[in-house]
Amino acid sequence: MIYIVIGYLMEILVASIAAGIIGALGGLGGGVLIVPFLTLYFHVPISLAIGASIVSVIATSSGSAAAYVRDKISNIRIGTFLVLFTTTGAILGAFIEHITPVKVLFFIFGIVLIISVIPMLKKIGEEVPNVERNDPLAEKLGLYGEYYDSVLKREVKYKVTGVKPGAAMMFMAGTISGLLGIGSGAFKVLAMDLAMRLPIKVSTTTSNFMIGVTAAASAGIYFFTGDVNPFIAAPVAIGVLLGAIIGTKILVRIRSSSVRKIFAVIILIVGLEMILRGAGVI
Amino acid sequence: MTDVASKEQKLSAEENISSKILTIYLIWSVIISVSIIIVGTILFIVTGKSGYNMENLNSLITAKGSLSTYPFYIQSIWSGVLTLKPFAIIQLGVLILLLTPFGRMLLQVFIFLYEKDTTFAIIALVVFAILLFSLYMVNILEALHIA
Repeated sequence: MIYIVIGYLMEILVASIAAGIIGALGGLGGGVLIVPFLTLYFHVPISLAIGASIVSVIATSSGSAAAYVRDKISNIRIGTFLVLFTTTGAILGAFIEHITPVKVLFFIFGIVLIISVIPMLKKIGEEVPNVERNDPLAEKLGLYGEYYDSVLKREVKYKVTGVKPGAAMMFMAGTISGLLGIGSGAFKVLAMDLAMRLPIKVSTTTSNFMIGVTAAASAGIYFFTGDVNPFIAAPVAIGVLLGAIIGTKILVRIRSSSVRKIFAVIILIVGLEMILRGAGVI
Repeated sequence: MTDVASKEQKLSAEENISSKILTIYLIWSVIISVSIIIVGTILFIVTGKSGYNMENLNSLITAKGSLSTYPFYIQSIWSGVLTLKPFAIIQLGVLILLLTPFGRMLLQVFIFLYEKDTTFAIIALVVFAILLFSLYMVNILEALHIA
């Protein structure tokens, strides 16, 4: 019996390492794949999968944020301002999760995954967006910045536009994070990429800072309502963190467009599976 | 022009210190919490016991927190840790991990204050307050008999 249990624990660990690598590459929390892995392949109830996932999201975010803080690519001011909206949304999301039927959760999960892919495929190839002038609010709060791009081998200065639509998208990203136990990194990256027109590397690394704080706003709710099961959460947290460390080392070496392509394809496949599960087909 | 340049240099020196503090905080809270989780997991594997009534694989992967499955309140986690129950030890690590961003946000408040950035210190403090409110949400869910 104990060998079966240990074997199972190891399988979850290996799957979590894989999820962590992919998650770090896309600026995701890793949770976006953990919940599908746990529910589709390990038959864990979705509430417990969400509980384990949200913990792993914090581990990933804290672990890789430590590396990003040193790299100085992430913009802490933008991140701090935007987590106002993501944390508020996350609390709402965790509340909704507790009153939503399981099948509906699967369905929403799948839809969310697929939506997050579409805009990503559209703009592949644009390395650094060209923003003419700052949004007045961005100017006032000093959200613009610069970073050293190790692939382009130069300092990249950037301006920030669309702060209000960005903030609204962040509230939604936070709600999705709290509802599904994911970092909703894809949505945060999207908000910064599409609405605020930040360079993709700034978006992904800043989203990593935001993911942890956002996840904490719903993780407490899942933990103290008994939805964080240690048998699942332990291998998931350890595995995703290991994967994230590996993924972060890969990220600084590859071009932005290849990052997007990798995670777009994976998310699409997993999203379809979740929808099929929600519809009761698999 | 020189004024702007020197101001930027000074800012980056302050940013260096704060990014060091943040890095140390983040790395160590992850190392400590994950180490505790690993210790609990190894203890579970070695002894083959969770410390609670979870007998088979099915109950291990489907159980919600309760007195018989695994602790999820600070008092019950702590009493489980004192009696070296593997699942209580894992939960302690998980709890420290999930409180890491709380501390990180509070740290961010002081970093902004140190950088004389009052606006952002207040923004960070509001975020910290929102995080604290999330814990209060548990009571609301329980009062509504949802949790």
